[in-house]
Amino acid sequence: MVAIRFPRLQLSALLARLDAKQQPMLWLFATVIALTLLGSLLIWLTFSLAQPWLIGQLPQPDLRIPMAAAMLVGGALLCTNALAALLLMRFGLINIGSGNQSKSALVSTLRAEQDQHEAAVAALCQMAVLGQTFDEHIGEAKQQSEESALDIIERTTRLNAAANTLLDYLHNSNQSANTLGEDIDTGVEDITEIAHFVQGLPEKMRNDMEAIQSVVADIGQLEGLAGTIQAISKETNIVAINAAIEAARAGDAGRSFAVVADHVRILASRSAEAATTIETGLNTVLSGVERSLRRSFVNDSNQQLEQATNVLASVNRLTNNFSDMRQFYKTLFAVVTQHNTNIAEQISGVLAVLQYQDVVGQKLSRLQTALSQSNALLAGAADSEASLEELSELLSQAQATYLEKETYHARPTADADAEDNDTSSGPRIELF
Amino acid sequence: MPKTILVVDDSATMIMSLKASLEMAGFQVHTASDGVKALETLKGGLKPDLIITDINMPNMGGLELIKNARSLPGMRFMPILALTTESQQAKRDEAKKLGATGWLVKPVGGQDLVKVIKQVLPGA
Repeated sequence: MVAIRFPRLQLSALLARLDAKQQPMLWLFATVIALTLLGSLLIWLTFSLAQPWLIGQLPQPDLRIPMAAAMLVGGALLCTNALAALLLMRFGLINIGSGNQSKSALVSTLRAEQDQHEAAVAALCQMAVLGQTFDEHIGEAKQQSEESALDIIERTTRLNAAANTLLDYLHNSNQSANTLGEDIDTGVEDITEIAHFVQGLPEKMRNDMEAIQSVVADIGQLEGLAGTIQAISKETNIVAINAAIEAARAGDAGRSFAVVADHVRILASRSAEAATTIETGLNTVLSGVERSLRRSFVNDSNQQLEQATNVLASVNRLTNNFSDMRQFYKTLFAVVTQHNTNIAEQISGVLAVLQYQDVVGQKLSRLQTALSQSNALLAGAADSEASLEELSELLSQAQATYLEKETYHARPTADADAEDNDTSSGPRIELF
Repeated sequence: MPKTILVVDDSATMIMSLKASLEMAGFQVHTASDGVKALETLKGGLKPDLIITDINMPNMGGLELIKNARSLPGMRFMPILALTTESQQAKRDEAKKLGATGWLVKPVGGQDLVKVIKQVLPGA
């Protein structure tokens, strides 16, 4: 703390100088006493030495002794008084000179003191102006800090809104991913069923092929049946020819039988033709089916089985990839949510810390009030001599009042969320 | 339905800071810059679930606001928290006598503030 000292008045020094001027007077009194003692000694010596001679010179014998004594005493006193007068005159002259010097010194000292007083008054006025300047600048600083704090709050709020937007976006993305996942799960189930179907298709084809081969075998058996029919047709034709011969032998009685024999022969011929046609068709079908089986089923069945297995593996890979992707989304969402929570906590902390602007602003306002009072006291003291004498006390009172009011306000802690250990001013949070 | 809070403070920084913190916590926030405007808002029909007020304000301070708010219909038991730099016990006692629910010394962290609000506003 810097102690400000005003120039003290020099009257005390001047009085000391005047006291110093009184020292020769004391010396003068001592000198007079010494001279008195010296004169008494001189009278005694003169009286002792000159008395016989003087008595001899005086005309009246009876008055010689008293007259001689009176003359000696008178002469000695005259001499000592003359010396004393000379000394007093000398000291008087010295004192008159000293008085003049003291007067001049007093006048110059008073002028210097007046100059210092005017300088002190000017300094007080300047201090008041300086205080007003400080007051104005403190007000400007408060305004600027408030504007900055509001700007920070606005930016922080926008940051929080952006973080929440990102979180909402990720939340929506997660929901979309879940919906997509459900669709994909359904699709995967369908594809898996198809894959299982495709995987079972070769076996089914083998079964079908075996069935077809069985049919082909059956058809092969039918080919023998056609030969049997042809043989039966030949024998029927022979029987019909024999019947026609026998009918011719019978004459008229055998004519009707001859007609039947002709029809039987015609039927036998048609049966033989039908059997031939059936055999040809069966042979054509058999050869076609066997070619198809050889080309499509038998040769390609292994490749189709492998392809069917690959389809299932592809579907499984697709399912696994999507599961990974969904897990990645979930992890990403959880991580970003955690970061967003941390950001929200930090933003909350920043907003709490910004309350210091108000706390400090109020402190500066109280300081401004005290400064205004101090300026008023300084200005009043500069206007009046009486106030100047009381200035120190008034300023001390103003300082005491300011410090007392400051104790009514809690000291802000370094961390707004931290516990306050200063319990002298009561708890920071109290529910009644 | 979010809980409604009326914040009364003459500092724009405090108003904006508290508004942002409380809105982040899911509250609906109304503001007033002194006791007179707060009373006008209350008389205008706003029925907040909670009032958070500064103590030292121009026109009408927080203590007078508490006293006047308590006399309004339907606000006898509404929670009112004082949020101030004042720590004088005499002021605390006066606020308690006038019907304040709690006393908070600035600055108050967002988490602490929300914790106190949840204590005085069950279900918030």
